Amino acid sequence: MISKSQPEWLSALNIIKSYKLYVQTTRPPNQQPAAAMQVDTIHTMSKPTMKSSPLWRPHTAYLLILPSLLLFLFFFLYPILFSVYISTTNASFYNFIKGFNWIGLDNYKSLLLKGDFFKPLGRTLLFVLTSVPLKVIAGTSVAGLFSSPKLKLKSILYPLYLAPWSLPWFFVVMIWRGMFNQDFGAINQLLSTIGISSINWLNNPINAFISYNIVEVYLVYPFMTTIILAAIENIPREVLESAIIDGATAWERFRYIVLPLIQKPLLWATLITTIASYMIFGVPYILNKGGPAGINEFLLIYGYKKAFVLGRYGFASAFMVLVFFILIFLVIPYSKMTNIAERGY
Amino acid sequence: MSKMFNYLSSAAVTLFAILLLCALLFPLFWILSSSIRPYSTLFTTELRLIPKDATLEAYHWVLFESKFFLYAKNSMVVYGAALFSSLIVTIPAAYGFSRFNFLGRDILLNSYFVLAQIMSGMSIIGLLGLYLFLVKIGLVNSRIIVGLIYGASTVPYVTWYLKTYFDSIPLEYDEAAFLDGASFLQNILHVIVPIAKPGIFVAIIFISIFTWSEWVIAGILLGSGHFTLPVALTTLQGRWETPWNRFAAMSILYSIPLVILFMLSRRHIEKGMSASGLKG
Repeated sequence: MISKSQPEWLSALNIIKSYKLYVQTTRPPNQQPAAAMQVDTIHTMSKPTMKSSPLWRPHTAYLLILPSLLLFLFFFLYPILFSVYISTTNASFYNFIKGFNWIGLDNYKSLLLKGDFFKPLGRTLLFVLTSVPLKVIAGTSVAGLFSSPKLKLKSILYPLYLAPWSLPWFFVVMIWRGMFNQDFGAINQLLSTIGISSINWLNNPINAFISYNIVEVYLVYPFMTTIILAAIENIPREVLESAIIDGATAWERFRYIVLPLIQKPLLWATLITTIASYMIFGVPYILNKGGPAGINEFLLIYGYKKAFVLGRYGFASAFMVLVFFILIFLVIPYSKMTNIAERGY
Repeated sequence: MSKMFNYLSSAAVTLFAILLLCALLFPLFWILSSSIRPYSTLFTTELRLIPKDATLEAYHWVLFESKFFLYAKNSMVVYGAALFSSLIVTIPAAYGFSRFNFLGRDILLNSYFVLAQIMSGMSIIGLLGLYLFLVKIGLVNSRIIVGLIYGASTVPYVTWYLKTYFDSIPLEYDEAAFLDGASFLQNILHVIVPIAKPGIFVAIIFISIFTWSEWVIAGILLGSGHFTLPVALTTLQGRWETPWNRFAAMSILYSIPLVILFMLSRRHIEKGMSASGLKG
């Protein structure tokens, strides 16, 4: 689970675990760890004790799963269906209790025809296009640094590089909000020591956009680094050593040997980061609420404000439904990769 | 000669890594130094990591003059409800997924896996519907309900994770328990849970991290008397009258429990991951 009300760094924690499972399950069967092998036998082999016992019937499984499903559906599926209904009404803060009317697809019409949907969508795509490459480059660079045999003190440095990760994500973004402050922020203090006069970071549209990118890269690089470094370390040493003997430069080794071999995990991590960046909310909201004057309102911020600041419930619901549809298209390639991972286990 | 070159280039790379690390950890030093800065020196343009007249005034304000403990109590109530509701439903469910083959099992597991990755964005997309639904049935401004919502949003991930952990526990344990006449719930409670402790610990950490930092849902669903710590922090900084040193002190105190939990848990996380066969 990734970005944004939920901290990205901790989403990364579970992604890494999923990724490790992904690596493990896509390995050839003879390399499967014993534990994973055993899983298969549980479901395929018919054990006499299991068969004879009436306990092992599927309906027992349904009973075991039912409470969790009910909890989840009650707080997630039902509200989403409810907001699909609200999206076809003129519900608002003023008439929600008193009674509102069904207006069909009018909300969707005004979103799609008047272009209210496309401005935030365009901003979000711009953000995805800038921040995803930056995150991938930052993560790969740090991973490259740590895969270099020249770097000493790795065991001390590596945990410290991942330290921002072990802090509450919310806390880290709050620190950056202070750092970017024009009057007492550390960034302007640093800049003034090298003679650059104070910059208005959060009240200038372009500077604010740059700030979001900086903070996002800061939050996401540990995740990218961990995945890419794990992939690099899976490359057989002999391959790289023979390349060194053949006289390949560091760049050539990276471009022609490492990059093709880490392609798949890199794609996987990029895909997750893209989905997360599409749903960006927390960083811009905490830094300056998508400001100044709403110029940097990304999809979720726009919908959130329409719902909870302006109280236009019907309109905001329709907006969120559209956001959700695009999300489904982004998730399809990801879930296909996941299905590969789930196969055979 | 080449040995000398190797030594020098190695030193250069390491030095570069250390400098980069200093830059990366700079925000953390800065917030620590902000919290011990006296109010009068807050608005200086010069950078000074160790302030001149260091003072604990800001911490004193947080602990004795602010509503810190009220917010902390609210956070604990929400946290408790989230942890309890999540574990009590996901442990049996994970057991069901691990031990049984039934219609819909693979589809459910697959959708849990995907949902787990997009849960946070989904929770904002669905927040309005959730809010209106709770308004309709009159359950807004309840800390327990917010806790249950947090618990519900951890269901996909925790179920999925615990299932992979339970998979590594041999079936012989269950069989022995059933031969002794245990029921499914007794087996889960007395046999599976004790064996799966490291895995459950990882699940607890995951739930804690999520619950302790969540502020969007809580900010919408809770009134000011029920604010959790992160929600209180967002409103504190929204007002100009809260000086940055006090804000820094409060946010440091807020993050300490999680950092301690993280430090305590590192060994458990590794153990939990290797024991469940999750080591790549």
